[in-house]
Amino acid sequence: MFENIFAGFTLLMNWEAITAILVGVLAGTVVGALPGLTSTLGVALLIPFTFGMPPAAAFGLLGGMYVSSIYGGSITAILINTPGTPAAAATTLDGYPMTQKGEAGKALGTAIISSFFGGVFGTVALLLIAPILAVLALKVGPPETFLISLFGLTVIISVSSKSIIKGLMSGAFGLLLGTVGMDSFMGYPRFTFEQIGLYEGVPLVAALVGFFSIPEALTLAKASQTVQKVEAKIGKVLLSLKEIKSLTPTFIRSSIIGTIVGIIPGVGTPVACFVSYNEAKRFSKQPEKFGTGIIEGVAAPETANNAVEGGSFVPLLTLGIPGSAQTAIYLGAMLIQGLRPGPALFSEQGPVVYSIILGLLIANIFMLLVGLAGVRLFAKVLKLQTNVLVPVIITFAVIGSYAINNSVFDVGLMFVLGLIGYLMRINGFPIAPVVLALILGPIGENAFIQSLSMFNNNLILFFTRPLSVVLIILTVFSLVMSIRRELRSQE
Amino acid sequence: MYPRGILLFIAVLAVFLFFNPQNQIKLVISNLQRGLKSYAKVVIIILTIGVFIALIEPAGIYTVLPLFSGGIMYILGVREVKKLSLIPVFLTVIVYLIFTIVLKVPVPMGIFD
Repeated sequence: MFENIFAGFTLLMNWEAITAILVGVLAGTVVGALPGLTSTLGVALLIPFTFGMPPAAAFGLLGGMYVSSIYGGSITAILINTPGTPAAAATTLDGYPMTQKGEAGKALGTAIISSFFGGVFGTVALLLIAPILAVLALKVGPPETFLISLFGLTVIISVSSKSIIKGLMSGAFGLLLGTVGMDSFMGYPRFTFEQIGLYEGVPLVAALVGFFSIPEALTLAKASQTVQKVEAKIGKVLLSLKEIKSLTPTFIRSSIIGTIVGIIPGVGTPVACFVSYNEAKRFSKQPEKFGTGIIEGVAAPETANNAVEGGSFVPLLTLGIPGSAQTAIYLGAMLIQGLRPGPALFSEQGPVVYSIILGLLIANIFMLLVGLAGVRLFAKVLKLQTNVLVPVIITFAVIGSYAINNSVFDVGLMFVLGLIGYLMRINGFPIAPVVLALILGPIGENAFIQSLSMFNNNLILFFTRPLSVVLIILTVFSLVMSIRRELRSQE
Repeated sequence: MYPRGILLFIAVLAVFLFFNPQNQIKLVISNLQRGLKSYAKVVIIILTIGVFIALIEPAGIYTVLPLFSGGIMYILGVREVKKLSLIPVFLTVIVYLIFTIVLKVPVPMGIFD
């Protein structure tokens, strides 16, 4: 193994590969920051550029894009409460309040350091124990996927802020939105209103952009009537050693959560982020401060979302099963380069495989440097007057929604959901539960129906699988503790 | 069955919310105190966005965008002619460079198609 690692490192030590990684990181930061442009789109856009490149440089370019686009989503999440990617939805919960308190620089600094820690942790786990982690991926079936979704939904209580009832209603609305589209088992359309654009369900990116950017733009527009210029404070950027030390347990816990969620195919990065946020809140000595703008609230989701990267490569490289949309595109790139992912990959193409993994590590280092160097530049967005910022936000929301399927229908849908989001916002209904339930609802529903087929409709058989029992206990515990904690804080 | 179950759940929660009116009443009162006038500009902006979205495919994003962004700035109180003309053009150029030149993301070109 170490010979292959060294050989992989040698493949990367040339100007072409290093430049490719750097270009990928720079492009990924921009793509991730722009609402509507996801890391999946970014990786897909770069595929044609890799055709003539040697494997190390090709995967370095893609790896740089993947790694930094996940981080890039946090920039707009923190500065203008509009996550650039679905992975940054949980970062808005404390990131934007930090900006409102004049701590935008600290929030961005926390995001980049957390992303680096999570990215390195996930990549090192991939490097050293990928075959062992692959066993976990094989043990997860539809019952476990359903229970993971259910566990993820308990996080709704945590992100409901002022009212649990309103949070639950938001979550239920998200579940309802998740039922739109073709029923994958019965084959009939649900709530599509005979619109072809809804047959595959509500596009997540359009929903995300709509629910976050339109309410934010309209809120800023309304506020600009009384406040002509928003105080644009960046504050300090680098965390002190004391702060980094205080965040270390959060880094480690969130990295483990992110890596494990990344290993499980089909669950998705946002789940890791919200679960990490919930767990950070649960283990915190001051849980009532979450949502008011604290560094733990930014560190938890940002560490987790970058840790997912390393985890998502485990099923791809060891089993040939892409664990996420991004790794599905990677699978295509690997086939183009003549690599066959699967159990024999590490033995037949060891140096190339390890160059992919080490490329991710180098990309994380470049991401840290670019992120730290660019914080003050990114934060210049805050200096824009509201009457300029509002059309900018709406413009990127419209173009980002169009770019998904080249369809104006998606733009219109984004706008309608945005208006609903605005009405929810002014009436005190939180948005995060809607997005979380929209992601988890379809995953959970499909997994539940598959489980019923497996168990011949006998639900008792859930309790015969050890991993399912563990997840049931975790879910019940999380639900009870979350309700207790929120009721106490509301008293 | 599943969507109906969710709707029933929302209905039950709505009943709970109705009987736990304290927060909701405060919100309604504060919204009413601000008055509908405070939402007038928001309604105009919403209508403007609707027109923008309706026109991007027939006219093209690069045709409509300068007019839209200038219009929004005007609604939000900008009156300097220099700002109203230069900033929308600058925004359009930035969008063109990022999406069409660098990222090669398809955007509706409308009359330039």
